[in-house]
Amino acid sequence: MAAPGAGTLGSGLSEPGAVAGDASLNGLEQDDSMTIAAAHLSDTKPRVLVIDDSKDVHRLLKARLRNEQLDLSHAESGAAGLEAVQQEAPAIVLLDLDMPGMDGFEVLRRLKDDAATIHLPVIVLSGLHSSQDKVTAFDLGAVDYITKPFDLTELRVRVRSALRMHGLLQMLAQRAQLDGLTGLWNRAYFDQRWGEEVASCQRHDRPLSLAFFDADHFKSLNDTYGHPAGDQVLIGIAQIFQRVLRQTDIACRYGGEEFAIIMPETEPDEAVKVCERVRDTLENVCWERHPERGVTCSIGLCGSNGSVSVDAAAWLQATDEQLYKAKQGGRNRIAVHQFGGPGKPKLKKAG
Amino acid sequence: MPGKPDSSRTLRSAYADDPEMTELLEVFCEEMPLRAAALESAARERTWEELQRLAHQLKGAGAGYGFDQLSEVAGELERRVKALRDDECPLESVCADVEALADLCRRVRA
Repeated sequence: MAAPGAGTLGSGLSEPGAVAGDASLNGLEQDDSMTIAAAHLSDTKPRVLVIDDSKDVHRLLKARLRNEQLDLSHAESGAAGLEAVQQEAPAIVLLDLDMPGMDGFEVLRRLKDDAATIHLPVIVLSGLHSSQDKVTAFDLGAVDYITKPFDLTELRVRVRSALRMHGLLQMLAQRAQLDGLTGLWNRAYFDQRWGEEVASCQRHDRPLSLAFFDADHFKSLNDTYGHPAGDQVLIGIAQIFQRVLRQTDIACRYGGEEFAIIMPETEPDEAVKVCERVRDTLENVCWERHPERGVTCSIGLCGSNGSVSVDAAAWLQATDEQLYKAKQGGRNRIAVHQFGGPGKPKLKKAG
Repeated sequence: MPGKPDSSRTLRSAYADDPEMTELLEVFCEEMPLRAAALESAARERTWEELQRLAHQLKGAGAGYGFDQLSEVAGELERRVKALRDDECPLESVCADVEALADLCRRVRA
């Protein structure tokens, strides 16, 4: 179980400041988890892998980049470099072109041919000064080109600049998958991830559960207290997810006041306990903007203990049906369906 | 073996006054007599691939540590050894380059 306030968004993502606004929930501690996440991020030095056949160059770079808050590592051949990229997952690679055996061009070509490393920024370091070499390096996907001997200041700023650019690109990619209001994963991310999780659980016969949360009487809340109050409720629910869900749970804003929680490796019985904790916590929150009025949610849950064959869309629909049942049953409750329950035959694919 | 080199012929690094480089230069210079010997040994035993590799490394290292002349001579040697291996360069000119480079290696001082 992940401790509450461990700095997760229930999505494995630690995005500083991702939760907008101030939910001011009484009965919940003020959220300092984001501050912790931010501090943790800045404590992690980006790893820079140097691939160069010369030990002298390694020593030189180590001295020259000593004060740059980098975690520098070395590989002394192209082949060793490719290996190190797999092992160490560096943030950036400094690559020598002129190496015996596999040269830098070939290393670059292989990095860019591999889906796992295609976006890894590579700065080429080279004593080769011909403009054709530069053109080839950039064509192959290098982000920058530094000529040896290094100009100290230039080397530092170019490494810094490449890291900054890489960070921004990663942030953009992440932002495109985050919900702006709550900081949870958005619908687009959910759709993609849900398909992957269903495929994976069926391939490996592993348990998987999906829950839909819907805030009860949300429209009336908005109408009575205004949309800013409604937004605060959505933010508050997202904070409860961060606090109560486990590190492996994937919390998404599905749309409006509806949230989807993917719980990989989780049997329905266990998933019910997790969801109940969220429901119970939410019910007991005293809201600053409307202390006289609490907020509850209804939950639909569908899960499998493994060995079932239901496609992602049918699973989604079945979960939605459970949510409807929970609403019909009086709200502030959970309705559960288990695929392929004990001793029951497998459910066939819908349709 | 030549004796201790004449101090007037000492080769100083362009980074000699850079405090960040002091320690690094000391280590680099301490190793240089060994590199000179390795060059001569590779030439004597005609292990051209090894000689080319040593020259290549000295070319890069020389420039990085502020010994431009060393880097230039090493680069020239690398080019000549490569040509020699392709039968496009006489053995004598390679040997002359090795001597010149080994001499430079023994003259560097932090």
